[in-house]
Amino acid sequence: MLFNSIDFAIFLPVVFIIYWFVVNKNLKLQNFFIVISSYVFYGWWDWRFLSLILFSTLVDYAVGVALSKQNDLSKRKILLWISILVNLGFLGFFKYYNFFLDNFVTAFSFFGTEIQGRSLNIILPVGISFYTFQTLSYTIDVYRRQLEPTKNFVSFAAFVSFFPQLVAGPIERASNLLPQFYVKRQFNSKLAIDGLRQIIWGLFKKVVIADNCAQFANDIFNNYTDYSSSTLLLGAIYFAFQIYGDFSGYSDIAIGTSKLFGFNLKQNFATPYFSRDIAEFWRRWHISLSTWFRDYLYIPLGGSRGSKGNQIRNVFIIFIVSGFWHGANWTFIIWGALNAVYFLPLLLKNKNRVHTNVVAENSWLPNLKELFQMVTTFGFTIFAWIFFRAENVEIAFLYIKNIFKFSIELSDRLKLNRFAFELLPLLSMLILIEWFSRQKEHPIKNVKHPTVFMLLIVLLIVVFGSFSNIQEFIYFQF
Amino acid sequence: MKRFIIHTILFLVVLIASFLFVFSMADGTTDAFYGKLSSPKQTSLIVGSSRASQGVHPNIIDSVYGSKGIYNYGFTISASPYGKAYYKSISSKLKRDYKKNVFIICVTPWSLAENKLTNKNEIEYPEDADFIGKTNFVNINPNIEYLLESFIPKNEAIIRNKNRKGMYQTFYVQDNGWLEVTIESDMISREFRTKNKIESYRKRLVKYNGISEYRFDYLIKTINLFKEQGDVYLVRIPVIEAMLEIENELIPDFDKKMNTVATDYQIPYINMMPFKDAYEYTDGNHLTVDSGKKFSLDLAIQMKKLKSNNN
Repeated sequence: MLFNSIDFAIFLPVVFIIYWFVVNKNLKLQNFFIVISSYVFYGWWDWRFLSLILFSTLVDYAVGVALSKQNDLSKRKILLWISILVNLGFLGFFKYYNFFLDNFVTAFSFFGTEIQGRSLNIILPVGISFYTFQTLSYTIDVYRRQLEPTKNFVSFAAFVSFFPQLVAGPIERASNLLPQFYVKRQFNSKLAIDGLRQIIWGLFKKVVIADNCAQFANDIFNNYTDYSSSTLLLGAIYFAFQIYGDFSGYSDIAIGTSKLFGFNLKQNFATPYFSRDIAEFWRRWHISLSTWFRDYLYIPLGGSRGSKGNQIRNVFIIFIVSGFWHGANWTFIIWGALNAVYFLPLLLKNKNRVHTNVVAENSWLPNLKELFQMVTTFGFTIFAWIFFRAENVEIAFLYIKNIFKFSIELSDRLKLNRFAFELLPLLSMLILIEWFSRQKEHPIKNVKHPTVFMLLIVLLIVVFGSFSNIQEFIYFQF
Repeated sequence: MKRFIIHTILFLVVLIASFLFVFSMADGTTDAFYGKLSSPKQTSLIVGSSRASQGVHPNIIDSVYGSKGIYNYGFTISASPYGKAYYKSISSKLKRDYKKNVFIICVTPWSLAENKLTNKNEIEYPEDADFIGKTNFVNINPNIEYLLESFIPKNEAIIRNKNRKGMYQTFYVQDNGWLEVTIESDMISREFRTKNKIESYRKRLVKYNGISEYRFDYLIKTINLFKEQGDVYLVRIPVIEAMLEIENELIPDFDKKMNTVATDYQIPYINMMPFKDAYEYTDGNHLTVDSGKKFSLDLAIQMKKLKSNNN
């Protein structure tokens, strides 16, 4: 079920009413109802894959219970590996089987050995990368004795399948979300209104920014040989805003929807395009995934401790794995590696934690240095996004090559004008709104005149929203 | 909770009211189709592709032929070739009033050709996924279904296009369904458009494969539907020689086939192609506004003659 669909517009109020007016008396009923609603939400896409979520839930619940009774380190390790193998096994099969097969066949034929590989027609279950990582974090935290394992299966099932963040995150830590299922939720009007406002802001980013940028970005990327350099550059910029509006919009809707049901999820985006270097960018973009990799991969590998060689290795591993998490394609791996290359100079000069505060914290505008840093970082990010968006590596390189031809064709100009005039005012508006609210969770939080702000956003959605051309959320495919 | 519910209801009221306000501004200036999909049911119709939509002027047909309120329900070659989707749309538009009405069915080889990309499975005909197949309600104003599901531009285009009527390169669906297209008429622009159009139809040719049985069957169904309610005329609108050559490659014996249909179903086939040099075209494929009027006059005269001969 898409957040920006009629189905969800009916589903959400129905679930809200039953949740607060029918099952509100009892914690178990509240949690059970969340599980049922979440399974309906997921099953709307394909009910067959509910069995995967259920199986993953059962395995991790059982492993958690077993870990609580087990003190022997080697047996605890075995239990942890059972959880890791089951979860990553599903992920590996559904997401990476064909990729590895194709690459093995290619590699063997390169060395003169022809082998036959049988590709499978596999459907990638929506959200598998997200809920797999969420349940893994639970088992790892329990193994590390950082979290008490739950004895309540319904609460655990609700934690794994919680519908607002089930299919595209934020990837919640058990330590933050699971305890919220242990306490009966009382309706909090202030929290719910804030949630509603965040949903509206998320919808604005999705239907006004992302879906409109998508029309132009798709046109330019799909017909990149027909366009001159300036248009190709614009296409990459539009994709940067498309993916930001799409994913951060989704996160805002997910967090806002959770607030309607009395839950607090962690912030997933913090105005990443105002970052002054790539390290700051990664502290502000898809925060739940970055911190997941930091805590469960980077730090166990040694993080930024140890020799320079190890530090460089760790950076490359984390970025390449992060790229590979996004999809079974070399384009994502190169995208990850490119970000590692951007990050490396900062690491080697020990400057990767210079910008931990918000840019221009106590002033209205950035100074020239900050502006230059932001523009440069945004430029590097755009360059990397080309690999992320391109269908394959060859196309990505051709796209970049055509940008550096520095060609401007007259036949392109009409279209370029249309692109510019239709979208640039909207993008400027987004940038301005986000700039002046860069210290807040979302722009409509704690504003002086929230009603006026809401009306403005609603009007923008109605007038500039793209409704006939509804695009699936990009991160659904991951 | 009370505060939240009031807040939410107010928000929903504002949201719905804003949508309705913007949608209420939609009219014939919105795009080339909206006016046709938001007008009431009609008793007499002109059907076909964009050639018909721009080329056949209902008021001229009415005034010369003597029909009352014939309505132009033509769209584009990609949206309204003969097939299940267009037939369903026409049926919904038609007011079942069994009097002596008049129907003009405009045919081109493109509207009856088999698209190689489609197979016999009807679901794969491209127009099924286009607005013509998706819009179930074609007689309501505002047509919210069309605006939400099929109107590609943003809603601001509804407001913006209202002020562009008559300006550079605009379209306007008049109350009688006729699509008035304003476009640069200088020779250079016209030659440029014609060259591009011919090139694009040459490219399009490879995607088609002669006459489609499926589309032909729906042409017959359309004829039968109209015959129940009045006089039916099968019409071929002229194009320039280069375009005709492409069409002759697509379906070489097209006129012969249409003559056979006309004979079998006892309706006249008015082939205006032999008079193609008498008209001017915006792009080799569509008649200019003035030529459209001239063509409509010539067509109405022919129709009237045929009717008098039959009487």
